[in-house]
Amino acid sequence: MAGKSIFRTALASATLFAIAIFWAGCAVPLNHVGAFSQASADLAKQAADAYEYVNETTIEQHISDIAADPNLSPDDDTFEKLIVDSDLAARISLLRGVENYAKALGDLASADFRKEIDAASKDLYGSLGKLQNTYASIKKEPLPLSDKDLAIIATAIDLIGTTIAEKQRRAALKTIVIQTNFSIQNAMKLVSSEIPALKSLVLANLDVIWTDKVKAYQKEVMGLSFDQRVAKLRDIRKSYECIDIASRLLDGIVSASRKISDAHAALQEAVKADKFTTEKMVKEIKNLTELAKSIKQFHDKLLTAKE
Amino acid sequence: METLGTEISDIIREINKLLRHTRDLEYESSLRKIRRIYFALLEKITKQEIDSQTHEFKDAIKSLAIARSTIEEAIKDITKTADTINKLESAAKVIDKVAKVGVNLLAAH
Repeated sequence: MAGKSIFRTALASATLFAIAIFWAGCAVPLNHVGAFSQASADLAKQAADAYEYVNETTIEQHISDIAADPNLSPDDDTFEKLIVDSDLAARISLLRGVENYAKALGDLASADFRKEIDAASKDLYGSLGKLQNTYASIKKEPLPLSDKDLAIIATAIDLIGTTIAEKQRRAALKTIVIQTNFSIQNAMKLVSSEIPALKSLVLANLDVIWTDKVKAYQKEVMGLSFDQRVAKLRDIRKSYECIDIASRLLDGIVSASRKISDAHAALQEAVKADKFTTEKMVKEIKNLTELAKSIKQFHDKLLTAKE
Repeated sequence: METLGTEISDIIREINKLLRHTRDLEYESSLRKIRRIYFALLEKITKQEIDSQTHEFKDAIKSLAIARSTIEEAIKDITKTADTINKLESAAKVIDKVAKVGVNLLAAH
């Protein structure tokens, strides 16, 4: 009787151990794909937002300049975005493509049902199409992601089946990462090479905004009470601090673009060897995640300083 | 694209420094006008790719360096502001050979 009980307990333990090994083998490494996906999507979004920020600070600078000079009044150009209908506008679209690609990759890695796979693959094709089109419009040359490559990806996703075969899911993720790696590298290289020039414009815009506030303060200070002066000076301080925060944020975006490239390259290296986790990949994803957190902090600080 | 843009951005920030320093309304007005011109140049340069190997590009960088040193002098001695504004206008014309904002750049602002 006691022997049977021990045997049952041992059998149950062995079964639990086997299940644990199975999940450790399947779920944990794919969680790294999920972590890559989350951090990359966040950073690509922040980078796209940085391009939008160029527009916003340009308009704010125009407003400040007009407000500072009573002889000026706004016209059609005052509120026009700088990045519109130009090559720079395509960068925002390119980064939204990278953001959606990273999200779709994570969704494919974590989907439990076929309909989730179908939704993720639809997002994936949409994002890759966007990457193809916007990159071609910017660089005047096609992205190294052909329609044939997209067909290979589609076949791999189809093979996952309706009951989600883990082996096929991994094969599909492997195909996707390998086929898109060069495109991700090129897209992020383009962004990291351009942000420094945009940073120059943003810093000049913000410098004008705080300078015009200082000039306004100099003119009206004699008519202000102590409390009013303090309130004005606090407002000037916020504008002054925005310059440093924006500078750090944009430097972070340049680093982020490079880190997304590095992490995707590490992911590609890993899946080529049929691994979904390697020491290098974990290290790159850790760097990426930390950078995403740090950039978010700068972004939040910038929002607070603008309030 | 990056070098010239960075240089113009730095010049704008130097103009701002002088603007914060001066209390002369006429100088203020002139500095704001020249700042507007530099912004027109910077915005144009940001939107296009610039060949940094041309003579025009190198001349633009040189003119900016001269203008920058005169701003620093004017910050120390405000009576030099008028000369600084002239130097900034001359440099803007040289930069416009690269940026190509327009021949009436100075008249428009």
